[in-house]
Amino acid sequence: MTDLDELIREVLSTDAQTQLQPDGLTERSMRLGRRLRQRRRLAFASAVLGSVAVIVAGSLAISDAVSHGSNQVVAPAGQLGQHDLHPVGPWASWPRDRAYGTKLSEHALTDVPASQLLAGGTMTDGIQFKIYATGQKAMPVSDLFGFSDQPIFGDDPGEGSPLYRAEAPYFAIEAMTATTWNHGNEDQGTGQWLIVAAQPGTTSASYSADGTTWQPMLLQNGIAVLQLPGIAPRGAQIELRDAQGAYVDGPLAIL
Amino acid sequence: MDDASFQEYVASRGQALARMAYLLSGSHADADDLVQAALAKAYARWPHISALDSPDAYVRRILANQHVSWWRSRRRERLTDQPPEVVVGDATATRADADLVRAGVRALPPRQRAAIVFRYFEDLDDAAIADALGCSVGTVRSQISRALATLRTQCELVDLLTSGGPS
Repeated sequence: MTDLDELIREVLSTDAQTQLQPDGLTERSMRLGRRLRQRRRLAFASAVLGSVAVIVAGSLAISDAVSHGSNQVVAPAGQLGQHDLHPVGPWASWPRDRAYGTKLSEHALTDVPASQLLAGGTMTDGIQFKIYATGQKAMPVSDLFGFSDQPIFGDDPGEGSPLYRAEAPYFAIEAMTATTWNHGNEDQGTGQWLIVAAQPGTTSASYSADGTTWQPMLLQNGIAVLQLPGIAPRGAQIELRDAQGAYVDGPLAIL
Repeated sequence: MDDASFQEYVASRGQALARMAYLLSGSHADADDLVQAALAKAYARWPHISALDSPDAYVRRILANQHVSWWRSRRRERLTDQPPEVVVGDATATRADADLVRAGVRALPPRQRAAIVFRYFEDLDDAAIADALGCSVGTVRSQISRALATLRTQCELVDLLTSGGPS
């Protein structure tokens, strides 16, 4: 038996070399971290409002079991790879620096007025979303979520992934379901909406967590949605088709 | 939020943190998830963490807490798994001792394992380990002492078995 201390050092050092840094560690950490921040803000906002759960429950009760909410792609039909930007009226009704009457202490949504809406809609549980570009930099795209036409949390306006260039064929986001939002247990991997603003003219959208088993996504006006049990895992895939065939078939890139 | 500073931090420390996560969890898949979860939590509080003298110490603490927390939540399912087998048939040299130590470290309770990893892989002193584990220096020393006693006993036992018993 060699010296135990030396042996432990050797074993740990050898074993450690076998572990590689996961791909996309920075981007994914930031995305998940933003969700955690949102949840903290939400917990605060919920405490202030107090009646959020009642409102959400009411919306759930009246949701159509078949429908998946009301979504719209603001960009009109166009060539593949182009998303036209149009300011949209309803966007202006969203307060820009407050969440449920509480002014956000950080990431105040001061850049929102300059933004242009790409897509927006309402899920069956009442969660609303907006995907927008700020027109700053090279088309950074961000997202905002809300309820009852009030933004309740959102990513940093003006900060967008370089993946989301003008020629990006789709924009994908994840939003907490109302249940996850109310119970604040995202860490346990509970429900997330996967929302994909695809090209106008998209005829089908499919999602796969592992590249093997595929699920059709509900599609309306070019926006595909699917409720996931948690945040999409690394290795998740997406396929988008239009009349000419698949125009996206590969790793899912989420804003 | 200073995203650039966080990106620089992960670029410089991500690999080391991933390795630490692997040594804590004993599984490549779990290590990926562990380092991911720890960095996500760090990002959520980055303005605070980046202002500290040692962001590393804070992130290390998140990693250790997450590891212990996950171990607790998964304990039930792991108890139903078959324990790792210790192969003693060809345990004749240093390599065999290394395998024993490897298996022994992975079988340690999570806080003992973390203490061992921090001391022997990260070369932290007892005070820094105590900070990472959120306990006293005395507790760190007792955790490491117990862990080493367990590993030493396992190795001596297998040495005994492979040598055919006491002469």
